[in-house]
Amino acid sequence: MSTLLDARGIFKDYGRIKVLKNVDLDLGEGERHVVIGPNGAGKTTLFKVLSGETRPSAGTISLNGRDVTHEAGFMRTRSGVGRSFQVARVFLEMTALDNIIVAVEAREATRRPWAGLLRLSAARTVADEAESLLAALGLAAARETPAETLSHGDRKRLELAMNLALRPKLLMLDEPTAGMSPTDRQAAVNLIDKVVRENGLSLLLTEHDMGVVFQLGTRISVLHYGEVVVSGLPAEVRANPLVREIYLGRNAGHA
Amino acid sequence: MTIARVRPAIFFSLLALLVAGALIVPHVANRGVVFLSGVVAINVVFGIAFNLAFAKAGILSFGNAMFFAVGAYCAGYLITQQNHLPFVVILLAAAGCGGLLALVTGLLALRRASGVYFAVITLAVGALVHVLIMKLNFLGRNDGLVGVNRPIIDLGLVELDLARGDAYYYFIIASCALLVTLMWVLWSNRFGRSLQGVKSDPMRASFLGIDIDRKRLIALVLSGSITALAGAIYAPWAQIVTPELAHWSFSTMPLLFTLLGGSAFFLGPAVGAILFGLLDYATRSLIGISDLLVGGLLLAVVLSVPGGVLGLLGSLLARVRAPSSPRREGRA
Ligand SMILES: Nc1ncnc2c1ncn2[C@@H]1O[C@H](COP(=O)(O)OP(=O)(O)O)[C@@H](O)[C@H]1O
Ligand SMILES: [Mg+2]
Repeated sequence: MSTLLDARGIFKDYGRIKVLKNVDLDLGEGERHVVIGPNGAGKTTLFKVLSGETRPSAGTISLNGRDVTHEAGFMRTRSGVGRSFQVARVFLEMTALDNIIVAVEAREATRRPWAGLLRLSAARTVADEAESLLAALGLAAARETPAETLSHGDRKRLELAMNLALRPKLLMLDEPTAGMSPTDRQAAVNLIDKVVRENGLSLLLTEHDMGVVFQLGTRISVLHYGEVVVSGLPAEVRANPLVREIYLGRNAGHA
Repeated sequence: MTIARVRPAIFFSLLALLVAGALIVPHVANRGVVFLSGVVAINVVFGIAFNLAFAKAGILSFGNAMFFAVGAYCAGYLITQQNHLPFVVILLAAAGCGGLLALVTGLLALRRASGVYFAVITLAVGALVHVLIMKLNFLGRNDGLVGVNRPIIDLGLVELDLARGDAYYYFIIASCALLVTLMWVLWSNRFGRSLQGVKSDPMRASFLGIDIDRKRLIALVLSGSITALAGAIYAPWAQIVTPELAHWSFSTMPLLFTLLGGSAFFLGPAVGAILFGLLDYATRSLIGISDLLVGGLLLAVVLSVPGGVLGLLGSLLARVRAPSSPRREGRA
């Protein structure tokens, strides 16, 4: 199994606040690596650093063996990384279908920047692809609905559809089930499991719901005050006394 | 409303209507009105070029006066000093100068500052260009350039003498229609949709693999070079080019057209420019209070209809339609 993403010695400070402290994290092809940790542990910050939204204060990040530490986020996206945000980001004034069409067109424009600029409407193939993604994620009924009137959960699914439209190798999801009811959460987990399987993706996920973590993860790292305290197989992590003390113990009632 | 399915029939019918209206003017009105009508056509391009960057890419620029002036001065200088150059070359040179100025401004400021900060920087660069124009001898300093004649276009077999009769007026209408069509393509196609994404949520656009800095820069350069073209077309129409064109206050004109007509609509600035022209004409005899009246009316419209005239029409139309055709039940 070759390594897709490899982050070594990552530090991130915001002024005098040290958020990430010497984080090592790697992800093999086909792996599903879940980063857990309580609120404020630095999960979102780690996502920002890995995806290129911000630069680390120190450390290196490589993607497919290539050093991307100083590469902008859009370049990492172009080399096959799709990411979601803790609060879904979609184009609010556009319909659900248009959101996906813009994503498909962005992928096409990366591959062939000058092709099809004289075409006005989206190409038939692009529209068809967007329609099938819409259907696959159960958003067919929201086709003509502006994203701003979609529910929180529907926006998350739409954002996932936009990421799939990029045909990524690696999908990074920041708390994909945050703020969902238990039923919605289970549906979301099943959906993520399905799309990851069907598209042969690697997954990097942050989460603080333990149910989700153990259903989706093949490897788990625990982030605590900006440090990775444990990393390993789900069973190992579950059995780790330190993890029980700092995390599972306190959250047992929630899961 | 989807942005992925574009209906050219609607756009081209509206454009045909506008062009037809413009072509009638010389047959029914006096020279003063024909002149004003030509200015309105140029203002339509001026306004839409601004709105392409403003509404689609979210770039608020007060540099449009300098782009317009650079185009006008470029054409004015070349026509008066380098008369042997074909007019098409002169126009291309003007567009190039405007695009270059936009490129420099954008590289300087677009990445570092956004929104109002960028607007202020364009204001500063505009002031610099204004001062420069007034200091340069070969641009006529305070007096500007006079005797900017209307050119003859050599098409090989035939020569079009644009100085004869209303020929230059027809040239303005044709070239403006062409530029409006070009901008409509840029507004409606994949490029326009990705610009809209950049404006709507830059972070999301970035993580779709879109280079948002580059997209914004391209939008500004397109806006700047098309605005410069409008200026270059204007120069032989007025036959004089003066430094007032570069004054920052002139940059408020396209913004005014846009807000008046409705920034959300491609033809919003066109409607705004036409209404402004009518208003200007209707109050022409009220010397002194004319500016005040026009200003007051515009303020009233902009404040009372935030979506512009087209926005107002749209919501009225929706209200009329609503009872007769019940909308499909959407998802909650
Ligand atoms: N832009 C920022 N400036 C200053 N502090 C920040 C910034 N972003 C995050 N932090 C701090 O970093 C810590 C980790 O935040 P975050 O990465 O959002 O945690 P998590 O996603 O695990 O809940 C928090 O204490 C937060 O206050
Ligand atoms: Mg977070």
